[in-house]
Amino acid sequence: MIDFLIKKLELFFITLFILTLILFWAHIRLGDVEINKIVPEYIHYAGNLVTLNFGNSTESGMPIIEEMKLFFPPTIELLLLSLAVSFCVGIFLGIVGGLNHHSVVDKFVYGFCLLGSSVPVYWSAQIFILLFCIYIKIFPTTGNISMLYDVPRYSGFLVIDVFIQGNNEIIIDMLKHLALPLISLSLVPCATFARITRRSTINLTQNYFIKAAYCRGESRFDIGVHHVLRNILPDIVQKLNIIICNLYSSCILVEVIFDWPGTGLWITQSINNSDGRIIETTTFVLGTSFLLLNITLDILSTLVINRTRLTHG
Amino acid sequence: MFDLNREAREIQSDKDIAWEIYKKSTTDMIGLYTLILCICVIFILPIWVNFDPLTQNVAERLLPPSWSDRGNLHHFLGTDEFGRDFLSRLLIGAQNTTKYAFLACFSSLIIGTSLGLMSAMSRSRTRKGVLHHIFDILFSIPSILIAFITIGILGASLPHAALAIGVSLLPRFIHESYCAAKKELEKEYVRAEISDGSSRLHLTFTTILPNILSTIISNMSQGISIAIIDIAAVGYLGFGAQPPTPELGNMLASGIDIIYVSTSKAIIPGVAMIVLIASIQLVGHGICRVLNTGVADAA
Repeated sequence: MIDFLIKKLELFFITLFILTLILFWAHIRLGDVEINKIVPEYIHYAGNLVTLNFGNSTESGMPIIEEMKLFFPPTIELLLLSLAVSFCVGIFLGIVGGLNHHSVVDKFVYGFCLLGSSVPVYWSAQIFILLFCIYIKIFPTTGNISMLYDVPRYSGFLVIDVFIQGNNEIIIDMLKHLALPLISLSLVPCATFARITRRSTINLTQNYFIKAAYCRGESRFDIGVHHVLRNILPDIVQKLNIIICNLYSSCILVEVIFDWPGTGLWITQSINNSDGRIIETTTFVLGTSFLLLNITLDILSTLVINRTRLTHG
Repeated sequence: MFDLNREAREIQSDKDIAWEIYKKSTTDMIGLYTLILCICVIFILPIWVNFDPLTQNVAERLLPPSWSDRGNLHHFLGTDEFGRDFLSRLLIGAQNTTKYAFLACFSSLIIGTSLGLMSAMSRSRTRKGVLHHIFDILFSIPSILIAFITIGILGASLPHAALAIGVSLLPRFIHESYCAAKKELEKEYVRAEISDGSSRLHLTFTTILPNILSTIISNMSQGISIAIIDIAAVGYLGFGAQPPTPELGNMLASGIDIIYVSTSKAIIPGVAMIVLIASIQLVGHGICRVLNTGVADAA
């Protein structure tokens, strides 16, 4: 186990080094660096990045780290909420489809998987805007809260802040703003989860212990929760990093469409303003956090898989 | 002689058997016909019919599709906000997107699969590690972010977006082909071939590559659909094809600007994209099914 951890940490530092090299290349292309002083420049640059000393934005003049504190929480809350929603719904659909293989329900689940992986997120967001903001005017189109309300910052996460403040009117307004981005963002990962779960459930039901459970007279629900769900979790954990990665890609688009004040909107605006420093630093921070996430998931999946191996002999 | 011929007619070739298995699934057949139709319309029709996606006509702008009341059969799908014919924009735009998506996916498939096979077949541990993990950094960065860096460095245009998406697809191909080849290498017939003294190169091309083909093809169909979605996404954000050039993504983006005036412009490009991607995925699924028929541990 310790060997494995050391190997993963080694890999992390090597990839971090490559990431800083790529970003330094971008820095050379965007700014002016003297060619004969390239090594000290690189060390200075990488040192600044690693110690989180990012400098100021050329557009607003504010320190970038302060701006990050403003723009990261909305993205993180949108990502986590949509991950939770799609995880629950997707796994439910997948298990239901897999347990009733070759039935009408399964056909519907398969159709949903196929449709979900071929519908681009920006198109479904547009359709939701068209349906729920133009034909039936119940949801607002932009922002994460109405301009009229003033919510004090406790944690930076709007969902938590609003509940701390405890004003019903504001809570409903926040939920209305949240609904459309959340649904359109959750559609694609939901289909992915459903596809993986359905596939591995079908493979799993060939095993004898599931048939034995049926013979013992356990209900479908019990089999789904006690036997299937526990045994397919390793498969899902292995794919989780790719799902989160794709989720962030679509999160950028959803933020741009719904004017959600998160990192996606910020990066897009900074590319339009050709603010190179923001692009470099956000890529560094996001890349590092995704790397850390990958390694954590790797370790987690090894642990989970090892444990299942031990228990099943 | 006569008997021989009749026997030859009765014994089916591999192609016929594969086609028989493919035909069994109705959805896969629908996917195949839709894909052939799409490719004909997108790539072959513009050779004979002169579509003009760029001519502006201010007098006839924002016409609805021809089946609605104010529609004009001269412009089948209506016109956009500058009075350009929407059907020709759609076809040429789909051609642009699909062309670059195929290009990005195939180049990345060839490079990625060869790197993955090389790392799986190589004996030295360092070479294996370097080849396998060299693009791992890209695996952890979301594809749109890679596109952002590339565009930040090189400037916004459609080929640069395709380059970025191709690069972001690389680690997937490397990883999948590495894992599949690794699994294949442990099987007994491969060991038998090794002990028979076949060279590594011979082993790769005659034994490993045909046997991991189903993995490669299922990855390819997924890769193409991801490439289409991502290239259109970069276009949607305004960093792909630059305005006068039609492309599915920037057509959708201009569709949302006029969504209060003309709703069809925001719907039609997306529908075209969904049909294209769903048919590609169905065909990939069908080919995988054909290749996996009779294989015991097919996933």
